[in-house]
Amino acid sequence: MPSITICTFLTLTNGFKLFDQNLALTAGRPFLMAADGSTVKTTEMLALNIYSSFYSNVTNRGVGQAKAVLFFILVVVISLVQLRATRSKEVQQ
Amino acid sequence: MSKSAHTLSGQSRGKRALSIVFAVISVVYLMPIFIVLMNAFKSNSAVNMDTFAFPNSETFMGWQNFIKGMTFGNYPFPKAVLFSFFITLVSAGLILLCCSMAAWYIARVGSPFCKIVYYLCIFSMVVPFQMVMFTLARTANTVKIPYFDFLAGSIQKIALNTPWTIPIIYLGFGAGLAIFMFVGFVKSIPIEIEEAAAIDGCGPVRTFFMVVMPMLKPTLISVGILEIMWVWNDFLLPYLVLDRNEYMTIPILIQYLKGSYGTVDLGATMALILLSILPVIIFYLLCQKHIIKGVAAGAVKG
Repeated sequence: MPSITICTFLTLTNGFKLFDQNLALTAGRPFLMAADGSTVKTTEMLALNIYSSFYSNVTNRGVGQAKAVLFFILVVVISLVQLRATRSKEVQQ
Repeated sequence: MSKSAHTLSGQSRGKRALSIVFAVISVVYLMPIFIVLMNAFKSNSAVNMDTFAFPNSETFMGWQNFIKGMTFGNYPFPKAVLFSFFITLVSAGLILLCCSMAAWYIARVGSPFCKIVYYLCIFSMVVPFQMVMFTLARTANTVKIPYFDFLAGSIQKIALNTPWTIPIIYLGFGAGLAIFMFVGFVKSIPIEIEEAAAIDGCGPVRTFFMVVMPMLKPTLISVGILEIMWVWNDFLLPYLVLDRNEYMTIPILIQYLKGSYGTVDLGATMALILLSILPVIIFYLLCQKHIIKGVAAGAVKG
């Protein structure tokens, strides 16, 4: 059970961090046109969103950094909940 | 007698089914490497059109892809290999040395400061690299470390964007996972051994290097493998930080195959990818036994 705790924690955080596969496979495509003319990337994940707010045509770096802080807090909360849930079920050997 | 034979065959049937399933899954995992191996020997157009076919007599290129990959452009390939090796080994050594000492302190002295540092290390693993790479690239150009230059005979300053000082950045990123795994393992070492060493007159430094570090060897090797694999394959950090005219590492060199003249030399790319996989595979095959032992031991007292 301790192994399940660690593996679940690592897989969960790596899943939220996923950037390379997203960029390589779809890069956010298919693009849809929203009502006001802006393009919407339909398969974009969190990390790609934050990255493109730094390095794309429409850069908004302050908002990007704020998104990064919120992303961090979100994943920390989720992983704390997960750690507490699996640790309470552990049997010490 | 017949009942035990029945359960025995039932068990082996289930195990056989499981091993067939896992064999199929492992083929799926090994396919990309095998495809790279096949495509390294095919000509350019064949890689593009018939990616999954075996090389036959008209598409087989021999060693030409390898030679083309190693001699193109104006940056010598052995120099890039040397820089990759240097950065990887120095980063891994620095991480192993510093993080094992830090983890020993965190595990033995359980003060609130230690707990804060431990949780900070765990949560530094949460942050993806893309969040911090903009500010990190700026920092690496601005922060200068003074050192004594023997040739000039005075104190010079070196910024963090050279291969000689980039291991410090890798230490910062790799410390999270390394301390996490080391603390789990150090907690399982009985403290009586260190108390016996103290009775025999060892100070902390000698206790660490003579008593604790030999017992940490499986974890050292497994953490070392993880760090080496990550630093060797890392593309983004050297791409942002290093000056590309003077210093290049292997992933950046492979990327240059793509940008030159607007075409992609797929055969040479596959050949270079194969060459860059080889050292890590050889290293891993040599240290397999230790890795599995280390991961199992470190994961128990997580």
